[in-house]
Parts: sequence; structure tokens; C-alpha cells
Amino acid sequence: MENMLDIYSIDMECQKTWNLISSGMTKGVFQLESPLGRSWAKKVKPRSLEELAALIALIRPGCLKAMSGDPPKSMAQRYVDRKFGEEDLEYFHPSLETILGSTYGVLVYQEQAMQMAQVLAGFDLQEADVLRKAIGKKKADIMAKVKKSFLTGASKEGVVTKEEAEEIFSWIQESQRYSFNKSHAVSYAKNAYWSAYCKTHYPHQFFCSYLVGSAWKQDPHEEVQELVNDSKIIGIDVLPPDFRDVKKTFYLKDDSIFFGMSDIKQVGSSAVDKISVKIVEVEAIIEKKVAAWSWADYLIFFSKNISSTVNKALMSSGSLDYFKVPRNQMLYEVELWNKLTVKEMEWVKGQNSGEGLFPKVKSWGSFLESLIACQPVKKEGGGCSNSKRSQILLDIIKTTKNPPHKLNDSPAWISWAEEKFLGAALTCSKVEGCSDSVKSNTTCKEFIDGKEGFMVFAVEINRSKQIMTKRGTKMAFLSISDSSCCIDSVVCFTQELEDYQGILHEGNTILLQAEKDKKRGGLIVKKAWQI
Amino acid sequence: MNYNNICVFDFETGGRDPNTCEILQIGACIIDKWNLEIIDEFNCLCKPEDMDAIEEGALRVNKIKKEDLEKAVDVKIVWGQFVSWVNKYNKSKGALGTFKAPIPAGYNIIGYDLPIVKRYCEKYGPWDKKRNDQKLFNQLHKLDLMDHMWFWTENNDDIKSLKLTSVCEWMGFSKAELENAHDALQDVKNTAKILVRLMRMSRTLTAGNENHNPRLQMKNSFGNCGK
Repeated sequence: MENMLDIYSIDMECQKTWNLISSGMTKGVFQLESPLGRSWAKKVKPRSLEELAALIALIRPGCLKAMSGDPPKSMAQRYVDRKFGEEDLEYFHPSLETILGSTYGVLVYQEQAMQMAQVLAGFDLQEADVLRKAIGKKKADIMAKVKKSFLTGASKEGVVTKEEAEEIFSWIQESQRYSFNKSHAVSYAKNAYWSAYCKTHYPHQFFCSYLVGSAWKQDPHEEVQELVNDSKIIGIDVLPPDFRDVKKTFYLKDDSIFFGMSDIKQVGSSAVDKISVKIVEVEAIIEKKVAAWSWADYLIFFSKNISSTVNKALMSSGSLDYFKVPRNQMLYEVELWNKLTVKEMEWVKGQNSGEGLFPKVKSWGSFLESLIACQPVKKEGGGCSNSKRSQILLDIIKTTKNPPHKLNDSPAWISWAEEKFLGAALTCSKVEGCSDSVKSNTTCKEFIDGKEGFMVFAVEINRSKQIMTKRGTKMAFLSISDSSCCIDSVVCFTQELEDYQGILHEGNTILLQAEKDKKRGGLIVKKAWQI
Repeated sequence: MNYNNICVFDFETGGRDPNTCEILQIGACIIDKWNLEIIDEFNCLCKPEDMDAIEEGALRVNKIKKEDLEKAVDVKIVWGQFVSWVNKYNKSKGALGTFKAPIPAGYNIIGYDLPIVKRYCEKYGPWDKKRNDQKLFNQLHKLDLMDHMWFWTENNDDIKSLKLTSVCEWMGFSKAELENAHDALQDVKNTAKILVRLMRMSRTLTAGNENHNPRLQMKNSFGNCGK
């Protein structure tokens, strides 16, 4: 336990952690994991707990909707513009500087409203607390009473004029729609920093535990996809389950994260329990550890112990890739094996485990060899009970030798199967199967790492959302991916959308010429071609 | 927008009546909905259940020899493999349904091949008891290229007939492509080529292009024609 992280003693000034937050790579970071949180983290670029707390308070719905000033801006946008010198910071009254200085003159917290009441209207702590409650609970009747005392107090104190007091109180009143409790925001910020720190310094453990937690999310599928993409950007491999490990859920091995077997769709926890019991039984029969099994061992001795649904899910998801047999070939052969009768299967098993007629044959090595041995009727030394069964086995042998279709795995099929069974394509992208993908000159990861200039991507469109602009024309937001990672901020303006809308659809693979959106940091579509 | 794959298929059979004939060969291919490329092919001779029911005339047309059929794999096994192969391209996320199953396409399939599919599905599966229909392909859409070609040639005297070979000839297919007519896989490839040409033509006409040409749209392309 000496490697245990003491979260209370971590460095709260870690520049790497602040860099991560400021880059918007905040998937999984408390309060900042939504697309909204990620985009505002990039804009606000917090470098202290104070700024992080303000960011968390500013991206609450009320705050984003509350517009003020001319031209009207949200509080969050005003904060960003003032922080980066895009807008001059002038205080309505010099007395407000000490109160609103930490938030660039933006009234973010309820505590700031309380302080204003204390300084300008001479409220004591109890009265200020009544004001806080009125803000927090959004009670208009209490607010009206407080307003009266505020104006009376302000005229007594004489710090601001009556008109100024009324203007300032109108802000306080307006702030009841959005302002947040600072103590709450700071504790959220601390939690956010802790999770960002873990993501920065312990990324493997971070992603593994968040992937485990994805099962409890509203949309586990989407959560897994986002986490896998994020981990690719950081350079962590997330791999399909490994049958040899028989783990139920996500786990870490050799600096990679593996899916657990119950993370495969259609494979429940009880199926994994059964698999682990049956593996031990089969290991004893064939006197071979699971890691040393061949595909024929699995097929002949193990496959019948689990349902065909679970078998299909294991093969399609890549859990049995260590046999080095194409997934489609496994699916094909298991279906043929299931056409044998129980007695024929037992005969094959008996021969193969050294108890039968060929005790020296420890393994035929291939499914075909075992079928050929079994095909003759019993009196001729085979495993078939009659000539009719023998004929059926002959057909199975023919079709094993000459399958009616190719048994290789195309990248398009693998990525589709992994998405279906695991929620995300892990080992390859559909794009890899497109011959024209070689015409690209940039991967998604290269763009995220800072590449600019003339960029052509070979990508799959993961999401496409069209919206109506204020002018009544259409534009679209896309999310694209290749095997390196995913970019979820791609804009397609009206003209380009009109030109290419026939191909800008979810699931399609395209060559995309795009340039960097210097304002928002994403990509702007220039041209697109079908591949 | 429909995202389903398209399965072009053709059966060579031992008779003319789709309600009784035996399947002798299954040819099929899958077309990727997006790039319109053939991504997989299926081709297999089948040994029919009743060899005596095979009509000599049918064998003359499809050039399949009886001795080859004797050596072929039992139709029940081949049908099972065909079903598994088609299901591989069913895009259902969970249990297989017909909504996301490949769209069946072919030449004269509505009158001939689809009734055979229905009959074999009822016999060997997968069968939709509720709808009394096949459960292998999409139940909603079907692309019979013979109907489509009627549409594209109805005012054209250059084409001799709507037979697959005539259409291929009319569309300028190569000699090699025309030579193996009535081989299930060759017919499937030719049909797929026609389908892809029609789809590409439609996409070219209706999509915008780099010069921002106005798109051809159903609502504005031909005026109101006064009707």
C-alpha cells in the first residue's frame, strides 16, 4: 500500500495539471467532463483554484443564459474577454474593486453579493445572510424586503449615491438567476483539480477506473467511446478482452487497459463465472494451460460449454485473437462444429485427449483434421453412427476446405463488430479498409498535437448534427475519427454543406480537406470526397 | 437517409416455378451503402434435396452439370451458411432484426428470387411467424433492377429487351462480363454494376459539386410540367 496516493498532500500548483485543464482535455474531470465544460475550460484556461472555482460557477446554465451589457454577453464570456484583455475592466464604483476583483468585475458568487451589501449598505452578517437566502432560494417577496433595507442602508452609509445603489441592487437581483455559492464552487474546484491531477499523473489507473464506472452512466456506450478516444490522445492503448485472463471488467496489464469479458455486450457476469469454471475443467482434460491452447483446442473442447451467443460475442469482439485465426474463420468453423452430433463431438474429443483410437495424437492442430478423422462410419474406424451422418460430415469437410465466401477480417467489419460488442472500435478504423485513405496527409492525432496548414484527413464521420443559422441557412457540426483518435469540433458552413451534404453522414468514410478554426480551435470543412 | 447495406443475390434453380423449384447455386454480393463498392461475395453450388426434380431445360440455361451437383454440399448446409453470411451485414446493434438487415437487390427478384427466399426461410429459417415472412433481408425495401431499368428505358428504342444480358449489352459491359450469363455470381456482379451505375448517376445529379452548381431536386428540376 506504500504506492497509495494521498490526495490531501498533492501539489496544488502542478503546472502539468493546469495545462491539462487549460487544454480542455477534461473528460472524466469532475464538473468539467461535458462538452460544455471542456470547451469553457479551454476558453477560461484556469491557472489557480480561484479561477477554477469561477469556471465551475460560470458554466452553470443560469450564468450562461444571463446576458448583460452592450453588446450583450454571457457572464462567462465577459469573464473570459476581461481575463484576456479583449474587454476593458472598469468598475462601476471604486468600492467594488476589492469585492469583484478576483472575478474580473463579474458578479459570480452569492458571497460577493453579501459583501457588497455589507460594504455599501452596512448590512450585518445576519442581514447579509437573509440576502443570500433570498438569492439562493430565489424568493421575490424576501428580495423586495431586502431591497428596501439595502437602499435605506446605502443612503445611511453614503458610499454610493441612491441611483448607484439602485443600479447595484438590480445586479444583485439579476444575479439570483445564476449566482453560485462560492464555498460550494471552491469544493467542486478542489475535487476537479484532484481528478485532473490523477488524470495527469496516473492516466492508466484514471482511465481504467472511469471505464469501470461507465456501466453506471446514462449512456455507457457513449461514455466508453469518449473515454477510449481520450485515452488514445494521451497514448494509452485500450484493447479487447483477453480470454486467457478471464477478468470480468476493465483491467490494467502491461501498460494497456483491457476490456473485461462482462464488458462485452451479450456476455453477462454469470457467463464469465461459467467460463472461468469450464476453463479449469478443460485445462485438466487436455493437460494444457489456457494460454497454450490452440484454436482447435478451444473449438473442440471448450466452445460447446458456453452458449452460441457468448461464443459469437467472444470471437467478434477479439477476445480470442491470441489464437491468430481470423475472427470470421472462427465464427464460420464454430458454426460447422455445432452441426456435429453430441456423440460425434465426444468421439473427436476422445481421440484428441489420447483416450481413443489414436492415443499418440495429442492434437490434430486443426479443425479440418479432426473432421476428416471422424467422417468414416464407426466400423471403418470413424466417429459417425451411419452413412447419412457420414455424408453430412463429408459436406462439412467440403465446406471447410472451400468456404463459399472469404474468411478474412476486413477493417470495416472489425470496427463494426467491436463497436457492436464493445461500444468502440479498438483495433482498427473503418477508414483503414479504404484504398483512397492513402491520399490523406494528416491524422486526427497529428492535428490535436498542433499540426496546421494544408490538411487532408481520411476519416469516418461519427456524428453529424445540422442546425439552422440566424440567416435561415443550414450548417453542420461533425465529429470525425480515424484509428489515431477523434476530433469532435468540426464545423461545416452553409456553402460546403450544400456541396457535400450527400456524403457528410454518420457512418460514412471520407477524405476531408479542412483548415484550423483559429477562433475555436477545431476544424473548418473546405472540401470532401467519398472514399 | 437509409444506412443499410445492400445484398445483390441470384439463385440458379432446377425449374421455372419459384414455388417449387430447387436452388442449385447461390450467388450474392454485399455493396457498401456509402462507397458503393462490393465488400464481400458469396458463391456456392448446392446439392438439391430431390435430384429427380431438376429440369433438363434449367440445366441447359444455367450450364450446371448434374455430376457437379452430386458432388456439391447439401442445400440445407449451404442455406445455413448463406443466412450466417447475410446476417454478418445486418446492422442491428442487439438481437438481429429485419429493420437493419441488408436490402435485397437483384434482377427480377420480386417475381422470382424473393418468393424462393421466402420458401427456404420458412423451411430452414429464419422465419418471421408474426408477419408470415422471411426474416433474412430487410422486409421494407427491395430493389428489383428490372423495374428500375423499365423506368430508365421506357422511352428508348435502342434496347432490345429488359433481359439482364440485353441491359448489360446496352450499358456497354465487356464481352467477358456477358459471356458467363446465368452463372449466379456473374449475374450478381452484372446486376450490382447496374445498380451502382444508377446510384452514382442519381448521386451525381442530385448532389452539389465544387462549382456550386444548383442541385437537381424533385421539387424544382422539371418545373411543374403543368401538372
